[in-house]
Amino acid sequence: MSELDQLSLALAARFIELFNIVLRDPLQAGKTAPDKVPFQAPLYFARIPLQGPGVDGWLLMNTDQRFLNETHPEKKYGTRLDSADYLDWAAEILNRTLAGSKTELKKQGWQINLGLPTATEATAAPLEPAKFEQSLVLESGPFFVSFTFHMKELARPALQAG
Amino acid sequence: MSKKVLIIDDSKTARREIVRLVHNQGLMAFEAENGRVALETLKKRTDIGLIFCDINMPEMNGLEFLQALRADPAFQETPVVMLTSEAAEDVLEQAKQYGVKGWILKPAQSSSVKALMEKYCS
Repeated sequence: MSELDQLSLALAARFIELFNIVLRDPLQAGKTAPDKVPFQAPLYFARIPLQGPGVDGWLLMNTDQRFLNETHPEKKYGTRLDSADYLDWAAEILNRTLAGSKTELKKQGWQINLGLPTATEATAAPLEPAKFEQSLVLESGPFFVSFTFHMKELARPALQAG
Repeated sequence: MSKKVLIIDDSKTARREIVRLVHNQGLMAFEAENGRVALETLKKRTDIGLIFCDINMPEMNGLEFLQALRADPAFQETPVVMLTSEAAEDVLEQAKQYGVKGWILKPAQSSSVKALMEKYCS
């Protein structure tokens, strides 16, 4: 299994765990190809820096309003949500996913420093070419999220002795 | 008179999660999107009984806020609970040096928040 695969699995596991109760059916990976996801406008894009020893890049998330609305903590109260709410939630999702994965990633030998996420209403913001890139789609019924690791550097530091 | 609760987090969604729990307890909540705004709020209010504070925020993060808060004699004993999405022991150890009362993992469990409010805001 490649290092990107391991990172991917750790983050996917945390993401799935975050929404286990909220979504009727658990999110599943690998059913839909990243370029075939049937997102519905409006679309949202969020990113959070992945930084640390041997790590330099971004974790990107593409999703649509359907997913953000379905999973938003305010949905159960009937709150009327707007674009700013969805942007804020998209950024917070990435924050919780990465932060919640840090312990597992540390066990794998990665030390990831938590940066600040940002979100925009778009399909994807242009980024400089990546040395390593891998995408993963998570889905549950009509709800889809696509993650992409966009990495300039990815080299796991040697595990410390003891 | 019951004390008030201050919630510090750059995410409006995260703040609202706690605000709802505070209101459910019949208490009043104030919000701040980072440590700097929180310090400005505290200058104007003397009735904050409990602070929930995120760690990772722009302008002034949670640890920087704690340091500034404890440097003010008026707030050296104000209860602070960290709101965090990670159980990072190194960060939480740093926070303990500034006398935090504990931490809550996001999304916050209502029972945990309720217990803290009962302890510090009654």
